Amino acid sequence: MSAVANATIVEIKDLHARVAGGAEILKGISLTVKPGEVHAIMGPNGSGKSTLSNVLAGRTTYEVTQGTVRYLGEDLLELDPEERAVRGVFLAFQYPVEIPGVSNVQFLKSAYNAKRKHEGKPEADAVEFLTLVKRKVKELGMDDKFLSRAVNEGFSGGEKKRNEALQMSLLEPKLAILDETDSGLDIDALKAVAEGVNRLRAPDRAMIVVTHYQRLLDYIVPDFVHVLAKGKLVKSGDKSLAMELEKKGYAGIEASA
Amino acid sequence: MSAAVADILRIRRGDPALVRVEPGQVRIEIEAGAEATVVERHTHANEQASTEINVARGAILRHIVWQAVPVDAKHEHKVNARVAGVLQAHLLAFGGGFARVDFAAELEEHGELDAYGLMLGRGTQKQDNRTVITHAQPNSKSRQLWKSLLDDKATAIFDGLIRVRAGAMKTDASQQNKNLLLSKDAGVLSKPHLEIFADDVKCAHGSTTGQLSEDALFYLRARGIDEKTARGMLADGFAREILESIAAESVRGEALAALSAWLLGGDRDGGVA
Ligand SMILES: Nc1ncnc2c1ncn2[C@@H]1O[C@H](COP(=O)(O)OP(=O)(O)O)[C@@H](O)[C@H]1O
Ligand SMILES: [Mg+2]
Repeated sequence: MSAVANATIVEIKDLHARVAGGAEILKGISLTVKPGEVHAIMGPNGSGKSTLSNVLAGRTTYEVTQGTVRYLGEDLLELDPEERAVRGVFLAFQYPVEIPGVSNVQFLKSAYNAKRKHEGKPEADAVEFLTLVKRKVKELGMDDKFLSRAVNEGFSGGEKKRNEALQMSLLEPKLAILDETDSGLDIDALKAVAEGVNRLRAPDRAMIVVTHYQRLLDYIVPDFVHVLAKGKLVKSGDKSLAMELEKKGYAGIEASA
Repeated sequence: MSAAVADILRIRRGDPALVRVEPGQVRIEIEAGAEATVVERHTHANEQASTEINVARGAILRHIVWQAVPVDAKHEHKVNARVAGVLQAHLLAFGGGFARVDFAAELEEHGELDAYGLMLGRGTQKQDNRTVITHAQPNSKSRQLWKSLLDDKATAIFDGLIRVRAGAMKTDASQQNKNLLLSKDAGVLSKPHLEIFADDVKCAHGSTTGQLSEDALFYLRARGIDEKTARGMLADGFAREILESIAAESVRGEALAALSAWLLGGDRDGGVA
């Protein structure tokens, strides 16, 4: 076996988390993700999908009370959000944030160059960067106008999700976590975003695709499917589990778990 | 000692579009048909600076006051404008330990005012901006957008009065004040007032004060942008709207650069080259 196949991208062990001072939301999650794999996490609203996604990205609203997360040999939980990001962790937000007064292109360039800097590469100059980003914008079926607008400000739901996909395609993460990337998308936008994601699938990358509905998984076909209920992974399987969920609903799965 | 008699800057049609004047006792008169930008850069403290402005009907004046006096100095500036034409005013209060601006404008029939203010403060700086906009005659229009960006123990006052005189029907006035506090020890006092003595007028005003959004901060950090840079980007995003509305490209560029320098903390005196 090659070194790549042996390596683990992320290893989550018995992870418990809560909102600081509040009740426990994640109640012991364990999950190992290897290079090249796509894991889907499905669960009803309120089961803890966004909490898990945000804990992995480093949001300090959440407090980890137990458990460990190893990411490419490092203790992920010790790292600040920006340190995780430059090491290749990418969260596509369920609700991308609007940032008035900060132009999208300036934001994208800062993010791109932060990563280059971490990798010891020279920063991309304005022309070089624009050429690259315009190509990506085109690939995602977006308009150049997106670049000069303020980050997500006044974007429709679909435009926001395309903008997340643009950032992901630019930053080429090692571990992409997609939090309900399908919510609020019409079918064209869903296809464009899924194509963007699929272009990134590679033997040295991994993805955690979080979704409420099975629909997204028709376009981003997962290797593994896990069901999250009340803060625990109650069932794991291959993609046929997603079909089963579609038929039986979450109630059926939770009962049979 | 009496103040020196002010030189009068008279602007006629065909004069240069951009004029820089020495602050002190300034008088600006702009004639019908003329259009110009006048920049007053205050770099020396003065407790008696004043500017008198007269904008004739059919004239367009863009007046920019860039206050960048030393951060331990006391500075006071009174601006009085009579507006029958169009006045766009920018009041950039970047320097001063204690700096006060009293901006008064009286609008005649069909007069239009667009006034923008940006107050920056850190350390123990105190910025104090007071506006009195009087709609004296019918069909005049005023817009005010005032922002403050305050760090450390800096404080700011925005006191804005809109007066609509009896008979000034169809007045259209608005005033917005937005404040961003970068530290929990910074503070702002926002006092909007309306005095309306006419019917059939539109007056809108609003005031908001807040801190940097945690959601926005996390969003930037989750893309690899370090916390200090992310805070700077958000603060810049908040303040630049005021500077981007400066029409003269060279001045706009200088002002945006001064804001960036201020945000980096390296420029204690508010952008004096
Ligand atoms: N910031 C927060 N403050 C308070 N409660 C929260 C917060 N985030 C999540 N929760 C609670 O944790 C549970 C899981 O939420 P979430 O992770 O958003 O679920 P999902 O993404 O699966 O819909 C819910 O009961 C929710 O109300
Ligand atoms: Mg969610």
